[in-house]
Amino acid sequence: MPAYDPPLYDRVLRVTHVYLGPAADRFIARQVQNHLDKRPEDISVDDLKMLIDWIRVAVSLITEDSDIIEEYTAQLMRLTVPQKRPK
Amino acid sequence: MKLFKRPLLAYVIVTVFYFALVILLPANHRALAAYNISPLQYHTILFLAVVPYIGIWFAAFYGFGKLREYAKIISRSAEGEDFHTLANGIKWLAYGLPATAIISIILNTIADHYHRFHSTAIISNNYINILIPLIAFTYLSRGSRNLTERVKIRLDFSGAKLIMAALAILGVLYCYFTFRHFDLQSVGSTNNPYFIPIWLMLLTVAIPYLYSWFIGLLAAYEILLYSRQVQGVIYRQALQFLGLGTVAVIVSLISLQYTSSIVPRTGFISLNSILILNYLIRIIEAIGFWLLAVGAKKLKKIEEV
Repeated sequence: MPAYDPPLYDRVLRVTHVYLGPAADRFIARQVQNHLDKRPEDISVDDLKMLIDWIRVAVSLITEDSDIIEEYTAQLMRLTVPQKRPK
Repeated sequence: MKLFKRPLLAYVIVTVFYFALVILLPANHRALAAYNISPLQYHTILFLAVVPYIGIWFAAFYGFGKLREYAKIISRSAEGEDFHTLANGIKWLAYGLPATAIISIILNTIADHYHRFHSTAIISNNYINILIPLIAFTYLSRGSRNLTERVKIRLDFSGAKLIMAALAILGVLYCYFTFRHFDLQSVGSTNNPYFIPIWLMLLTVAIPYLYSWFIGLLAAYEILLYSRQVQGVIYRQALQFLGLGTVAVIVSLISLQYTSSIVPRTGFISLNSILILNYLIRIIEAIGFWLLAVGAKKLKKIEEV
């Protein structure tokens, strides 16, 4: 049975949930729609770097804790690396 | 009503109205006699005594306004309705502050001129002080319960035990301090500072108070639990202000109810240690409303960037 590879949007959301909890869905949807002019589900790996830049700007307006901002964006950056499928 | 949609406008109107009552209503004859002061001195003392209310009420209306704004922004989300319910609870608390003060000063003035109305004024003031927080706590309890259930946070056993212990101590001491004013030999007697028979006091004052404190403490605990355990590091940072603020507001209100119910009302301002204690509790209440506003502003910011 092939391993399920969740869409990129879901993976971004999963990471964001750790930092923004119930506000994560709305936050990501807003960033994608406002800055990438796309539907949230349509984001691709190519969009991810720009999205992370916008997320970094947005989150730095919410919190002054630079460690959390770095950790969050680092987690998102990991999604830009193609994931190895288990054999 | 449009007034409810603009809390700060409502605040200005009720504050001006209350201060107009403080200045314009005739001086209380019993207070003049008790403290041996002139009407001008009475009005000056009363005015100075209620000046802190300007700040306390502002904090309450500001806190409510900010929480309502946040609830409105997230109204379409899953937790939107829960925050709307919490905002409704805070609305009752914020509007309840001037409402009880205005009703109290009007009733006491009438009672001062028509002595047969004195008992009615005391009874009415006592029931108003139960009713408004009871409605507010019911909303807060429903909102906090739904929030915790939504993210599957359960009340832990030690927390439940703590609330039960606090309530047991509160309840026993409340009954001790209140019922010592009653003639326990005569169940139907109204010859007491509350002007109602002991059975009516028990059924319509003591039990509602205990119920109200129980759901208030439970709501405070659940909000604190939600603000500490919900997922989202940044979200939690903002929510903790709101959680702590709500806890401070609920606990201070319970403390105020407690002191105002175990010390029978006189129908005029009492310049004693209880007044100082009331100010201290009200300062904690104002800090609570302010924390609540800070939390709501931070949460709103998350939804705006």
